[in-house]
Amino acid sequence: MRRALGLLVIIIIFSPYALSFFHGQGLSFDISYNDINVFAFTLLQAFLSSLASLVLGFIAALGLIYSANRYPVFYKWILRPSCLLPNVVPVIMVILASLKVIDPFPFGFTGILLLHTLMNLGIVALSIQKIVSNKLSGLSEVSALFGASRAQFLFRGGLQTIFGDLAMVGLFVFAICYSSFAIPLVVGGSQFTTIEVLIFEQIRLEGDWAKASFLALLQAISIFVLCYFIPQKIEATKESFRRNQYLSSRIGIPIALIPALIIIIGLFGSFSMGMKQFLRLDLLRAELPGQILNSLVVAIGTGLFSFLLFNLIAFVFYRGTLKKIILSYAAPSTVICGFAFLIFGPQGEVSSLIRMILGISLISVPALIRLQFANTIYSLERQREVAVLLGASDAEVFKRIIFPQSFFSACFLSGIASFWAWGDFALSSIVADRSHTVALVIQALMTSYRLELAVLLLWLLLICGILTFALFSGIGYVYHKKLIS
Amino acid sequence: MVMEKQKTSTFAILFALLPISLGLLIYWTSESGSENSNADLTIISYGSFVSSWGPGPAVGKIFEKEYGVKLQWINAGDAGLIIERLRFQNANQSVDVVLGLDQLTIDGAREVLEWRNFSYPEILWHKRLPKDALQRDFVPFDWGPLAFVYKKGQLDPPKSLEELLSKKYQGTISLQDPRTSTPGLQFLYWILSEKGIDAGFSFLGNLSESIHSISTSWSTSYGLFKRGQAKLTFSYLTSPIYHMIEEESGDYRAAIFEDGHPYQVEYVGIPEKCKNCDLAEAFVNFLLRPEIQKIIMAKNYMLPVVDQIEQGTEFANIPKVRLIPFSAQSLTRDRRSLLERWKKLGL
Repeated sequence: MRRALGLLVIIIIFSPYALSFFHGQGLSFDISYNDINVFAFTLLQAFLSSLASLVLGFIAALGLIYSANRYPVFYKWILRPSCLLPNVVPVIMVILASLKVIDPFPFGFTGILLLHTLMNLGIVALSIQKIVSNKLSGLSEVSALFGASRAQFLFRGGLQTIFGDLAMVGLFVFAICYSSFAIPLVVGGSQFTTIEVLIFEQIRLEGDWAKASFLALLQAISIFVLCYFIPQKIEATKESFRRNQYLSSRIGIPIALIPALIIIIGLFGSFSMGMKQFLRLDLLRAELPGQILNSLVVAIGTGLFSFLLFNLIAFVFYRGTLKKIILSYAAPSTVICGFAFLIFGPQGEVSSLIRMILGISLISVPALIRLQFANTIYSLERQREVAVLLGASDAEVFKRIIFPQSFFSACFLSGIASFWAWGDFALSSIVADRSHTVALVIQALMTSYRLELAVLLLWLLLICGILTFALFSGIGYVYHKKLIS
Repeated sequence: MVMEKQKTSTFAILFALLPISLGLLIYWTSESGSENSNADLTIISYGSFVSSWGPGPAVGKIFEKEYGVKLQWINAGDAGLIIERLRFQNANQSVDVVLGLDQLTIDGAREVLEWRNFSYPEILWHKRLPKDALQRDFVPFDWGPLAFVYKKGQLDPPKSLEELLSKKYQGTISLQDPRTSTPGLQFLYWILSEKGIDAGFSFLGNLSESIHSISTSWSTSYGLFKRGQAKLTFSYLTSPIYHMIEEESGDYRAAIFEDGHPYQVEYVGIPEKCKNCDLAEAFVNFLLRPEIQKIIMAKNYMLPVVDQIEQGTEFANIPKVRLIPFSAQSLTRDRRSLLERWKKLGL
């Protein structure tokens, strides 16, 4: 049965590739020298972007720990959602806001790195905060007793202890930047082509699905190979948020807040025009409640489906090859994934919403596993081994060890997936047949001059996103306490 | 031991339940085609046309009332992805009318699908609509010259392409990438057809100093302009009318070039595989009616293809510009190599 479930996991997560190859009528292996250059550039910008996100994210994580201990309300309701904000706002909005606030903007390669870092710093900080709190608390207390400085603690043991975890977080950012599309084009200029742009060119300009599918496969294989060689340390850890001089820093707070502040300041100031546009559009006012409801359905559906996938993966995760495959897997590009799902079902609201839920979940979950879930499951590996030695069945191990202890993490990450679902229009615009969701309305408003109203609705979307994220995290927190008590 | 196996099975069933049920639901909806099986005509178009504030719903409502039929609108999102969307439609998703392709994308559409030829009714076409806009298999439903748009008082408007190279426009222009945006491709073809291929690329190279940014889409480049980061953007001659009507602002102006302007014609077509072809043809004819043309003009902020429609509206006041006729066919044929050269410019 476990093998069957493992196979089911593989089928589910690989389904976008299978469907896309099926539609592309095979693969075209026609790769030019120029394509290789594009791969090299994509690798470089993704590597440097993830490195910058990791360094700044680490400092921001110390700020989060400081804030969680000193100002828990501020941490819970302001700082934590702020960290997620840049990841949920449509990329176009991030670009518009950043170009407004950062003036003069450093266009070119620096601009690409800057925007990628701004977008990913927050979520990286949240993830590192958990890693640091879970894995370094004990070590830091011992170091403090021996009188080590912060630098000594970090560079002579601390960072080494969490190197594997940091590498996984780095890979999460790397995968995002590796498939970056709009940022390199807008702020980099035409010479900075990424693989994602190349895939888009093949589809839109050439109609060459076979080559697009092959490029997407190469993209996935390169991430797969990288992930395969990243050391994955398995450490039994205990969660701790105790105050510690090494693991908290107030300097990290502004760093964690900067990306969100840039977006808020950059998009602020067009409320009156947005409202004016809103009042002129009677039909939109009538349709909006339904679109909010649809967005809610997609967000909750994505959260639930992601939660289910997380648990399904947790159940089969410890099997060697399967674990490597899941960890190394990267979802295909949004365009490929969107068209792959388009073949499902007829036109219509229900089919569109289901396609959105499936598509967004299958893109989000592999990334979120690398971001945090893998660490959570790793940390339970020794308990699992002991339980199996003592004769526990897989079901018992899962029910009594894995599920209770990974429940919060699964809920938290499902909350992030649901937050992303509110803001998704890249995949939704391909699989939907009408503007069913708020994000799609925002996209349509932007293509018809009404940028201010689009920004106004974006705020609504963010508030709703925060609420659903809080819902999943809240359920996770409450039941986690009950399950482990 | 038996108990343990039962527990494992229970978990397995629980975990498998949701994806399986979702799959079944999709299969069920796919099989029955129940959601929209009662639609008589399926029309695919781009997002802003289909949106509640766009012309689609208003035009559709009148058509439904007059013909006693039900329309189904499909939003293809980006106009550039309509063709790919058509390529991927499955058997349950047949389309009767495709609305929103332009003169640079209809060749691509012809490669993907076969299209019905159209017998035009007696129409007094718009006097300024270029003659080559009429195609045997695609019917124009709106059009508009393209132009650089600026805000009054922010800069002296350029009067020619050459003037854009002037230092006073340094870092002011927001353009679209021709690889990802149709107006971007229009701009590239405009330059290349005006100046010739080599001189055109040389001109684009010199233009780099004046460029603020090159965006993936019209909406991003226009957004950069609206938010004041760029002072000039490549858009439509009719764009200022939107600001005049919707925002009551007369600050937005189109820069008039003495040498002329490129133009975009938007088309409607009927695929050969249409299910309700007669009704589709009736719909296309319906789009050319004066009262419907007026709705499309007012909601899409584009010029009508039928004459005299804009009289008495703000659209009658737009400057009469010289239109640059250019054959996109030769450029379209060499598109790949032209875009490679564009990339190498490093703008």
